[in-house]
Amino acid sequence: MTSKRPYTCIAVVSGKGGVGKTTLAANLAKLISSAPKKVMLVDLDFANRGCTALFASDILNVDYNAMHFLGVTRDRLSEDAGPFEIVALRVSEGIRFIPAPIFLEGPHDSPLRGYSSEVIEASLRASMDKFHHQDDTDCFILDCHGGADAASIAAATVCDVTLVVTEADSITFGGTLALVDGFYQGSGSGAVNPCLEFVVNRAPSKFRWQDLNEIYNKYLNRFLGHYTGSGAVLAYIPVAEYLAESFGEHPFQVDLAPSSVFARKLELLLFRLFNLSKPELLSTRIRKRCQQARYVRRLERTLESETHKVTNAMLGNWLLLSALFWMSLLVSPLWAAKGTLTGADEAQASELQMADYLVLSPLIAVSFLLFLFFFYTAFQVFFYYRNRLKFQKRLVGAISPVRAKLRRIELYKLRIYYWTSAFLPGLVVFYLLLLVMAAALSLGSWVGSLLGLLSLEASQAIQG
Amino acid sequence: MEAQDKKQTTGLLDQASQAQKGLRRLIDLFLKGLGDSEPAIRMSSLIFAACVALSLLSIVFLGLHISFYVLGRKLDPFTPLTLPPFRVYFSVVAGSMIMGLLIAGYGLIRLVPRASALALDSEFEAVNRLRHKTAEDATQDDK
Repeated sequence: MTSKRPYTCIAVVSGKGGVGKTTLAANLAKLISSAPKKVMLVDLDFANRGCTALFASDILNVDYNAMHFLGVTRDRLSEDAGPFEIVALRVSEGIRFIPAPIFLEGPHDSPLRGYSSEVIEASLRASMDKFHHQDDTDCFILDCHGGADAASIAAATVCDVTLVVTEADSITFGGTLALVDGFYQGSGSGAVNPCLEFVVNRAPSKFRWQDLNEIYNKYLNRFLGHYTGSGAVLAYIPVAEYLAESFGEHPFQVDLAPSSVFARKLELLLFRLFNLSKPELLSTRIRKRCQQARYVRRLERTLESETHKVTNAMLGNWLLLSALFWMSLLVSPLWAAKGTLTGADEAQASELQMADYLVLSPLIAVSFLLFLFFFYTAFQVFFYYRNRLKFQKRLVGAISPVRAKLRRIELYKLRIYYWTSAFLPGLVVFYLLLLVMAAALSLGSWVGSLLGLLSLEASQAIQG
Repeated sequence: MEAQDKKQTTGLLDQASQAQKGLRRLIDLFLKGLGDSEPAIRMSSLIFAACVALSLLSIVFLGLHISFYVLGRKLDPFTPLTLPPFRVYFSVVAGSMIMGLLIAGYGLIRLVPRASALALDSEFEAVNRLRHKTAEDATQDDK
């Protein structure tokens, strides 16, 4: 992972399309730019042009694209990155972007057809060196095509680290294996040794971290003998339902929801990638957060999406309330009828009162615990809606006015949810305040009476 | 009318077979869990099974109690009742059922993701086999 170059290069690849490479690449760029470092994002996915579509509003008047970056003109590919002056677009503070060509004639890979990955690799290396000298760029992030095409193989060979994005299903797994095989065959039978690191994106909540980790460790160790890398999955990112709402509308989810599991998992991913080799790429916030072993341990094991967690909490509360209701209906007549059932006389009844307490006290303890759980989940729901509302407000503030108008309805709906979810925690806080006030009053009156007593005794002593 | 009856019966039978399938799947889950490689899974399935057994046993005891009570009263209504009061049975039954359900719930929380993971593992293995087979075929074609 360490390189002698003065800049860092990350390739984001996958075995198949639609696994979230573009989202990850854009958000990683955002996190690195907050270090603060200069980042350049290059869209090398000529087929889908996901990243280009993400910054569509910014690229309409740009002539310079990834083809120029690779030094490809209509009929040549040169090693000195072509005669073009590199003009990258500034899409955010510290992030520059080179789009994929929008209009291509023929199949998507036609511009690179006929060139071996070695030639593209040399061209890519030359371009990055050139851009680093020109603009002092600290980090290049190459968003590649889903599958083992020549550009992906070249990018994986050139870059310090190649992030292989995958999902926890057999189809994507098959694609990932094909990609790894493609790297092996494409890079001259293992002559090149790319550093592959794996990320499982959109991990479904039905899995537990321990199980998934066990499975992936087993297969990674079995298949990746030819490559360097940590040999383990760097991050399992759960499905982020509400963040996905902003897909296509805003490129940087880590900006909209910095405390979400998605953002924190990406921070952890960066920390694991660069903590030892290039810590200067990590912001103080990331370093501070990820140096706490307990925080990291808890975060890395989180596989449940926030929405799933809250839905479960609400369902659990609803079940709990209904169970309590039905149990009270069931228990009260039985309790009332106990005398007639057992035929107990008065002496027996008084004896049985002790048994009543024995039965009742654990019941009271259990119900107290259940109520604690109930209020804990109520707070969970409240914080979830608070985060969602914040996210929606930021999104509405960041997107175009036409889109914001449509989003506003969602915002009103979320406000209603937020205030509804605030009711129970509000009640708890109110009762706690009442309790504190009552305690303060009683303490005050007790101290007051004590002082009065003391002064009375003192005056009596003086009189005496 | 007959057709409607038949339809209803078929519907009920369908439901019953669905329930049976669900139950069978649950039992399969337990049995797989009992033979799992991870000790925590084995333990939780064992506890799960024990609690289900306890709950069933309590229901049987409750039935026995009621039948003894009714029989005893019928045989000799003037004999003082020597059986423990109903509330004792009730609290044992309710307590064991609640505990059983709670621990069974915990077991399910632990076992269901494990079952998903095992399914994923076997899918990965199948993909891997296919990959090897394709590679072998390609080698043979080359020859």
